[in-house]
Amino acid sequence: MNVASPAPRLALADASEAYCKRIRARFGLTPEGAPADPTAMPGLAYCGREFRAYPSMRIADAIRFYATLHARWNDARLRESLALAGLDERFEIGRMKRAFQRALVLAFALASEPVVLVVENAEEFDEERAHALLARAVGLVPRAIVTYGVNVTHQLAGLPDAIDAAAFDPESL
Amino acid sequence: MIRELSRKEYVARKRFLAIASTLVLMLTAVIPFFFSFSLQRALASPLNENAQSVLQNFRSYKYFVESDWLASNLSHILSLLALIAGAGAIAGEREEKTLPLLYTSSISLRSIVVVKFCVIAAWLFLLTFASLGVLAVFSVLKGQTLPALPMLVASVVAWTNALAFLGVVFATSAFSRRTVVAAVCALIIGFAMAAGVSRLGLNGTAFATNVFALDGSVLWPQAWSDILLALGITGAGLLATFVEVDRRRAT
Repeated sequence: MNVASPAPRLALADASEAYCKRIRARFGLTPEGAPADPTAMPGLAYCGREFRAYPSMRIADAIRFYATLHARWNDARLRESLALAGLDERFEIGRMKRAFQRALVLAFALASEPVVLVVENAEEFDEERAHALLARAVGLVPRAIVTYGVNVTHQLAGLPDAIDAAAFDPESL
Repeated sequence: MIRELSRKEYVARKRFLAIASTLVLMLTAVIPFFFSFSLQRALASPLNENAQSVLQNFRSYKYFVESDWLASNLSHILSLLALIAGAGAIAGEREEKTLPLLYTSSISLRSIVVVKFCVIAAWLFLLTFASLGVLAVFSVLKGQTLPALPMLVASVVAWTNALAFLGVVFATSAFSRRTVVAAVCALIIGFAMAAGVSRLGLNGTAFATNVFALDGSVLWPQAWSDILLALGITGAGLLATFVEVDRRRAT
């Protein structure tokens, strides 16, 4: 995927339903968040607001399961991410708070070593350690697009770099 | 990959599988052993002609086991279990919102569907043949020997009928958003098809009539038509599932 400038490294946007649809269309994703053509954007990791890992699984089982599904999988990065978010592998996913469930999906996304990361409704990372993982993710990937559904000034302050762009036109991303 | 997918499917259903397996094996042990015994005793008592004709089918323990238990009752139970186990295959993923994460993987959803199907089919296979083992043990206790070939045929017919229901429920699961809706739709479609097949005069068990003669020997044309019909419905169900899964992914 071409990540050359002038596209912003970190873009923040308003996560209205219509806007999320436009973002999905921009990145060639179906309404369910699946890449319509998986070969078209191999470096894209998309953390949709409706993405969930199996609630009946423990994190250890989920790691084993999702690792088999992905062609690229950086286990060391995944372990670092889990440690940062304070996620123990013995935790049962369904019993975790929403913020940590989102953090887990984000950790899986980071393990696939993405070039572009899209995180929808980032206001749901409203636990300190879950948000720390989001901040690390934004610092780690070459380009991140983070959308917020509500005004979260206090959360934005935690992100590592200055925002390159407040993107309201998905075509500019 | 297949091992991990199978393991995940097993872990997700292990409680249901354990309870259902125990119940089926208990019923297999109890019903043919005690019920056929009571029915034979009833036959020995003075009855009117109607009652005698109703009980004709139970005159032989062998016939009761093959035709009424294995090819009919057990077949219906297995079909129902297939329906319950398969209803959440795709609809359950939608309900729990775990489907999008699967879509992002490098594995096709068709492979995932096939693995899910194979796990449930394998469990139904084991359950069917475990029931056969239980029947063999209890038949020995009863002092009866059951012929191996008709018993095997009855078990295969029961299993393939359950697979037909599994195929139907996978298709309804691919079209539904909720597991309950998928199960109810599969139940309606399954029994509507069974009724339709019966009206056409075809043979079978869950989908039609009987594959055994009164002496317990196999009626081969009926047995084959049953098995082929069931496998055809299974294939059609899986095909519909693939088409719907691909359509949803593409739109």
